[in-house]
Amino acid sequence: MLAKVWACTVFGIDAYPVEVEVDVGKGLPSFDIVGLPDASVKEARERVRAAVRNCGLEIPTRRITVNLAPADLRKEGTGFDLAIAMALLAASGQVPPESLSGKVLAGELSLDGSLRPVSGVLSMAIACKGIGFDFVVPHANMGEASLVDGLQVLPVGHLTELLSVLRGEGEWGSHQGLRAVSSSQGSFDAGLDFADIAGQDQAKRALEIAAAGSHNVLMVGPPGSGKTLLARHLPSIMPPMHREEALEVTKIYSVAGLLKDKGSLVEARPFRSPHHSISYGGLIGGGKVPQPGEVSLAHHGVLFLDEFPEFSRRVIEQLRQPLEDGTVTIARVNATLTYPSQIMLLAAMNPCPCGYLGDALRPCTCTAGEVARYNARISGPLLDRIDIQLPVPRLEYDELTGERRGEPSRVIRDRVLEARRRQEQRLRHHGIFANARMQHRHLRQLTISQTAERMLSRAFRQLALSARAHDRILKVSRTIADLAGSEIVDAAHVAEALTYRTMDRQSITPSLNQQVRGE
Amino acid sequence: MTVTRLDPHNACLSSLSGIAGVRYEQLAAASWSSADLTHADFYIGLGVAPLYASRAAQAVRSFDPDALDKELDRCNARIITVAEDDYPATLRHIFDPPWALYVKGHLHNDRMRVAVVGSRKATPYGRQAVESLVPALTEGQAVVVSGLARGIDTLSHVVTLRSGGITLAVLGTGLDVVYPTENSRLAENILENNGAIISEYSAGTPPLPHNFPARNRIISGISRAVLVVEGDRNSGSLITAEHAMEQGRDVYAVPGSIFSPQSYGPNWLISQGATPVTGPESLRQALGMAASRCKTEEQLQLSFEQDSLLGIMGHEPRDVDFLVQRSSLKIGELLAVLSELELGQVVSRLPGGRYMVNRPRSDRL
Repeated sequence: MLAKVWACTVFGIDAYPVEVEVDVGKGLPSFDIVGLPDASVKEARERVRAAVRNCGLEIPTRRITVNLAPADLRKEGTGFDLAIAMALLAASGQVPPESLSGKVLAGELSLDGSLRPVSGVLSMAIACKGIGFDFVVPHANMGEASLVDGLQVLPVGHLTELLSVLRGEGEWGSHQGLRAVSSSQGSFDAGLDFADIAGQDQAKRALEIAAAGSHNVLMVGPPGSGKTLLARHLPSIMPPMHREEALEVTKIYSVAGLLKDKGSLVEARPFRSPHHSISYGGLIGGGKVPQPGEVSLAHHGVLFLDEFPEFSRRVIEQLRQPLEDGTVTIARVNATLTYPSQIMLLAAMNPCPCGYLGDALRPCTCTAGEVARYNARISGPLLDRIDIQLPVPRLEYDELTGERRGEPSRVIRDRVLEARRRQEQRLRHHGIFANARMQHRHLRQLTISQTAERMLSRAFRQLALSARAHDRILKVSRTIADLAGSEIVDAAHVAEALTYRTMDRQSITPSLNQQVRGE
Repeated sequence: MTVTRLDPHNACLSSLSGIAGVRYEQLAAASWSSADLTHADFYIGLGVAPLYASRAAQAVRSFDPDALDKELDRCNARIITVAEDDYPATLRHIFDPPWALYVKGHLHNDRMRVAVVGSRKATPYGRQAVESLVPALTEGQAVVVSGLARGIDTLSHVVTLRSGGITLAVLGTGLDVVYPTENSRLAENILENNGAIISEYSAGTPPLPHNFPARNRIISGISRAVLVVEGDRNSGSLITAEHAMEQGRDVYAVPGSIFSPQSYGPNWLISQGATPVTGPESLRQALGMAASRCKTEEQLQLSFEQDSLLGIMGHEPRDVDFLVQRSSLKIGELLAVLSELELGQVVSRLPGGRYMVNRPRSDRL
């Protein structure tokens, strides 16, 4: 006899419906799974056999063939257990087959028949909604699945429970109270507040601008100047995510199996800070069937790379595509996948190998050549994608211990939100949401005052800035104007933006290479 | 100008450049022919050490005028031998003048030349000193001589050009090899602005360590006075100052903190009798220049915010936190004002995000 049940497989961050067909027929007793299953799917055979037997049901001693259609799509994961078991029971007449129609089943079986949670449930739920089916999930995945509005989610805890419902002997378990589950689940401590950081006014201002315009930032400063501290506080001034953004992020975390308590929406912006020994696959994404890497896990959030020059050159050069396109494409033998990666890059580095170039108290012991080599580890094209280059000096003792407190994050965040709103209004018809995403053609339409224009051209000749720096300065100026509530980019905005371009200029040591003939 | 147009008598001398110095008085007093130059004994007679004498004789024997012509064409330079009138007279009379100089540009033998030298690791203080003292030299129509090295040398050339003056760079390499390479644009600028680059070494000579102390004798030799801005215990600028004293040049030094290693050199020179320079005015007086007519600071039109910020900055490098605590401006406004001042070249941004006034008003004290 033949029975068909629907399940889902996850490919990238999207799920696709898979039809699980089971045929129980004549022949030598056997149990085969076909349709490009990977090892974890093939192992379902043993789990299903044991779980079914332990629930007092029977595995027919006949020739059993399981087909996962479409047969050309690779299947992986443990989520097929439940569907295979139910299709088998339907094919052997132990469950009425019609009771399984219009449902998609997901869940991993334990040997006693109870159901374990699986990853990628949010994507599956979205796929279920797409085909208009109900979705049967393990209890533990309930919250995650119910994030999708307008989908009938049916939670089960045990195989026997499901059987009794399908046979008309019981009711679906109530999921009252589960629907509303959505705890905050950021990887940063919600208690961080900018008010607690003494001094560092320029850095705080720059991070405010960065958060408002979604600009990438490179912080340069000696060890112990507070670069990491500042970075950790950045999420506290970023605007909260829209629901669509939160769903996207949750999907990625779900697929990667990183949702801590299964069944919650990731509400806080991700903040990822991988160690500098990270591999190519770890940062960009990889594996036989590629899994999302840190750039995707930081989607809609912050990717913080401390000790930037210590990262392998080959690895950080890969950031160019994600920073430019907001997506990352990974090609492997088995699959080519595209993951979203709209990130704000926040990098930190020392000014030189010894760390004290330009420090007020400690002299730098590096030679000019060493400094040049250190800086050359960050390639020009990558540097070009970073709008704000920020010096973070070491604080003097008085400043560290002073009474002066900074503005609380809440106040800064309100300004950021207001600036974002202005940008959205202005840029909506271009299909972008933040100043950092503006292209050259958008910049040409900016309203910029004459004095600002003059200042920019003067800065160009005098500081010998590159054409690329020009666009970056304009973008940052635009964000500063947004924060000031101005529709026109004025000279003061450009002047401030110029202070965030330290790497374009040469300093007195190691070399002074200014444009000699100024005005 | 090419060698073939030179007196053949002199042409041979050019092949001796970079080998050893000559006692010019003795050379001038001796009657000699080109043939004499091929014998080591001739040099020994002039007081040249035997080792250098044989090398010099060998160089003249293998002298190839055509090759020299090609070399000069290639780097677009000319060569001036010690026996020619163009050769700087002051240099000719030092203990061991170079036999010949490779020159690109104009030497300005008719004007006063003043050397400004200092450490490769310039501090913000050294930079302020150059920014305020060098314009006094260019206003007084002096030609500024330095060595195109990193740090104070580079600054001296840059500030001279910026203030509309003429500057000469004496290299320790061949004229076609600019070291450090990042200064090649600066070398072009020097030439475009009626200056010159000079070397006693033939084209293609790499930056050999022992060439640099030797070129320092030329820096002081073609100058009337040497101003030492900064330099630590082992600095090459102390060698220049030593040459200057041997050659009877005036040595001026910029006094500095007793705690700054880079000020050790000038402070030590002052203790040995060098003239301390306490400001542009004192430098002008020492060199016998007329008092300044040009009032650069008064010409600057500063806004109220700019002026009050400069008052807060004083003469020390300051970080932004320091300024924002003491001024009434918000951080964004403060950065904008700083940026405007930087574009006006009133302040400079130092590595590490600190800012410094370019020319503290020292003479008003």
